[in-house]
Amino acid sequence: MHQFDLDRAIASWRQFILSRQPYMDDTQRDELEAHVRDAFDDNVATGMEPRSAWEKARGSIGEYGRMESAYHQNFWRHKAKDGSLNGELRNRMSIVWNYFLLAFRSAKKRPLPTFLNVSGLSIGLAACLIIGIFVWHQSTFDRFHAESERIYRIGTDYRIDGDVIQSAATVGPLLPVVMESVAGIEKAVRVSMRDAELQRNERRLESNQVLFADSAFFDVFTFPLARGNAATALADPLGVVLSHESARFLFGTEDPVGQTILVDNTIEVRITGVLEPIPQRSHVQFDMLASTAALQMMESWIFENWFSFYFYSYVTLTPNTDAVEVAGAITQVARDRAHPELIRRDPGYSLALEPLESVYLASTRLDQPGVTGNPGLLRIMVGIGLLILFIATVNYVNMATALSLGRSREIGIRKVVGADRGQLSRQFLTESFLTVSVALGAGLLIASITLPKIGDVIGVNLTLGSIEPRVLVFLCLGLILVTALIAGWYPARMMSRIPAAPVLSGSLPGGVSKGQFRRLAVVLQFSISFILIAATLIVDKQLGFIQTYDNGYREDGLIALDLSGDQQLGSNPERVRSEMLAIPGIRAATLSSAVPGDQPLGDWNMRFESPGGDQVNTSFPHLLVDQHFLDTYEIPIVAGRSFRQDIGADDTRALILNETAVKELGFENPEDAIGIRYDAFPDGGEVIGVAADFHFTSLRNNVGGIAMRYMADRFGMLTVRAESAQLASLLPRMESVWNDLRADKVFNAELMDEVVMQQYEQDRRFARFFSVSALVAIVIALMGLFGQISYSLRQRSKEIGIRRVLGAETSGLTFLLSREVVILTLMAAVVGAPLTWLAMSKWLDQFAVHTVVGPMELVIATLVTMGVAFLTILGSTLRAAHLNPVDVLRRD
Amino acid sequence: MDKRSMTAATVETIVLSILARQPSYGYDIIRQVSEMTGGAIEWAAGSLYPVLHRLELDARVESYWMQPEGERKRKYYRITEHGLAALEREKQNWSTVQNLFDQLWSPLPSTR
Repeated sequence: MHQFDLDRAIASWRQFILSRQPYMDDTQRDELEAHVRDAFDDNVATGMEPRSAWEKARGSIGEYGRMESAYHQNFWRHKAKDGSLNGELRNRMSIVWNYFLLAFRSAKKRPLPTFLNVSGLSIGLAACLIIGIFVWHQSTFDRFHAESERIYRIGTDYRIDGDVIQSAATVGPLLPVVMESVAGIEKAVRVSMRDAELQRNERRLESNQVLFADSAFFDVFTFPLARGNAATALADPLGVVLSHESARFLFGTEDPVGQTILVDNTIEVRITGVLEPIPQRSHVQFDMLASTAALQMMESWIFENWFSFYFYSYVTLTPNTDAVEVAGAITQVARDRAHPELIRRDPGYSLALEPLESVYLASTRLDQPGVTGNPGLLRIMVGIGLLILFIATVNYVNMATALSLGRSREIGIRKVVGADRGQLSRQFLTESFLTVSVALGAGLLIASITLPKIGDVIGVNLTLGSIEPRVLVFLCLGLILVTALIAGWYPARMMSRIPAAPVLSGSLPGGVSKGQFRRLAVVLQFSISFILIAATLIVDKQLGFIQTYDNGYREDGLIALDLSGDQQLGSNPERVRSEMLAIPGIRAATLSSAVPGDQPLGDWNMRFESPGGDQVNTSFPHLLVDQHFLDTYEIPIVAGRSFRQDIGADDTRALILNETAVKELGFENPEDAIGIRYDAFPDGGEVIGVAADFHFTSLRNNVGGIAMRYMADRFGMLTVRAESAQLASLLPRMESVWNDLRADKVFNAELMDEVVMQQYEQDRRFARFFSVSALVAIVIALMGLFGQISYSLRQRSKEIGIRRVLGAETSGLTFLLSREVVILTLMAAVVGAPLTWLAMSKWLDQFAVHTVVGPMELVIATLVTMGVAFLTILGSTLRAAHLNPVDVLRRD
Repeated sequence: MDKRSMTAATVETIVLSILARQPSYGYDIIRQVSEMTGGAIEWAAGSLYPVLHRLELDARVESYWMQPEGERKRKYYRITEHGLAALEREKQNWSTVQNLFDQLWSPLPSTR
């Protein structure tokens, strides 16, 4: 065993202190050295072995980390005391400035990797910014109201056959009673939404957003008026407030206040006010605001009926009131007054309070008064944003570590001239901060240009200007900090560890380039791209599947027209039907209460004789149709017969069910249901026929039971059938017939296949969003790959030269150089395929009828990923393979 | 109170009290405290030296290097006028606390 050498031990300890205690000066180190020497002497004097005595003396210092922070504090205290604080700060700033200069020089020296890094990061950051802005936008709805955190919407929970139906609506008479008898409510307002046509001279506005509201509307909500007085605007039943947009549409630059407009061609109302533009982040949007007093004159029964949900009720609670308690009290009031039939059918009938600030995004209730958010889509977007940023960050890390090979000499020299690891780490972190900041600047530019277009894709109207500045600043700083630290940490750690001596003596350290890490990174990046490409293909496939899926009726060639609410057309729909049918080229026409893809049909209570002869109470959605419906839609009858052409013989008592309804009633065979008696509003009768099943609602749902009955006063829709090829030429003739009939409504023909596809708008957006993100992800990944390949080919130029001299063919060399990339992208597909299959199968399961994740999509995604990766590197590998070996080998 | 908080609360006063008797250096201060408490209080050098430097920054002590005959060169600290005044104030504070504890911890007089 070696003799213990105290001086050597002390020298190495001092070195350790030097590296760990940057705030300690020389005399302080001397003082500490004297301390450990004293301790050592004392320990030896007690008979300890010198080595143990040294270890104990060294241990008497205590925790080095705590000591460092104490010295650190003293250091700044000292600077503050002797007036050199400013100087010190300036000094530090100049060091940081120096780091910036170094980073700038390093970037200038390597323009290609710098460009790829910055542009990749800027695209990734732009994607994150856009997604961050979207998330902010979606999660901060309705906060502009002055007391938004105290406003709640009352919702109704009721059960039908055990199923809980949660509705955002309430019964009309509820709120006045609640205001009288429930404590803790400061203000309350009921609103109800209607369709109406607003007309002034020649200008007509077809609106489905006319809001009737109690006079407390402006007390509860903060919708500032540009013109008029909020306190009196709704006082007169025939006074209305126009939105900024509808005022502009109807009145141009004139002042509308005091003027009149015609509503639904019948009632003249006076404009009492004009609103400032309604904030985009309001879950309720409306064109005109009218008084509930006016609604009461038209539909008084909905104000007294405790059975029908026609209103949205909002309450402002007094401060510090427990919403759950208030909801309990409201439930009690509602139950005490509810229609006995309602309580009999649902003994658990209750009401709930939803905070206004979360109704847009979090509420899943039915019958929402306006648009709602999609938290699922939001989560997916956040996930994709983070993945894209991950790809861009990995690019940076990859490139920086690859470059470290070329920079090891610089690092070695800096170490020799006295830079410690902390300083080097700080230098590389500064470089990453600089790169990320520049990239963010470019990212902001990209975001500002693309945001409106991306907004179109996801269905929200957004610009960079619509964001609160502090949110944007916060978002930017957060992105810079997180990205720079993540991107800079690994390279800083790795590069600062490069030892000086072997580098300068010419032998480069082997482990620096970390090939494994880079390969893993490429696989990860490309598997993310693979998943996004495959997901795009699968969403597209499902949309195509829906479009070509046999809905049970022939969709193409059908045109739907909405007659509802039109005084002229609605009073005699049969005349409209026969006039349209008279147009040559129109083969059939039918009147009905609804068309596929429209609103869900209302459930009606019915009582049937069961196969066993018992009475069965149930309910079926009702489609009210004329005798031409099944023929026009080409829906076959599987048992019994259709309505008679002379409908008088059948009238409202004849009932046609679909196959599912018959099965739900317990009949094995459709024929068995023919002649079965039933009871329902307004009159009972018997089943005359069973129609084949057809999809009336979205393919997300299974085909449900449907009851079809003839009820002429409920026909609001006209559907005509023509040859698909003739549709374009027929539309103008239909319009002239429409106008000849002196319709109040604007001609509103829609092709049925488009109406049906409107139900899948959200899925289409989903598909578009996926395709955009897939594109962004793959572009960034390819940039990284391109940078890496260019770099590694330069590193391998000598090897390539030697291979050429030894007779390697260009094609063989190209293959050799691209082989790794092909293998890595293949591995990415292997990683991505099961994940894609899992995630997308789950998505497809939302649809009652759906396609499957087939091998084709996965193969195409693999080929696309591999193909673009190969093409990206092809140019570089070809150039490298063509290099003149003489030039390459002469260089060294 | 845990040991660390106890040390933090008392270390400055103890150091000033020791230096008020006679000038001393870090290692010796730690040894004196250990001896006087029978080894119950053992300060680590890493926590004493920053305190000495802080006291020096506040001009409550001053330092000088000295090498007594036959010994190694060490950094000595002595208390200043300002330090003595500060110690006097600390003494009063601690006497109040000590007085309080004396009363609290003495046996209660019999009520009978």
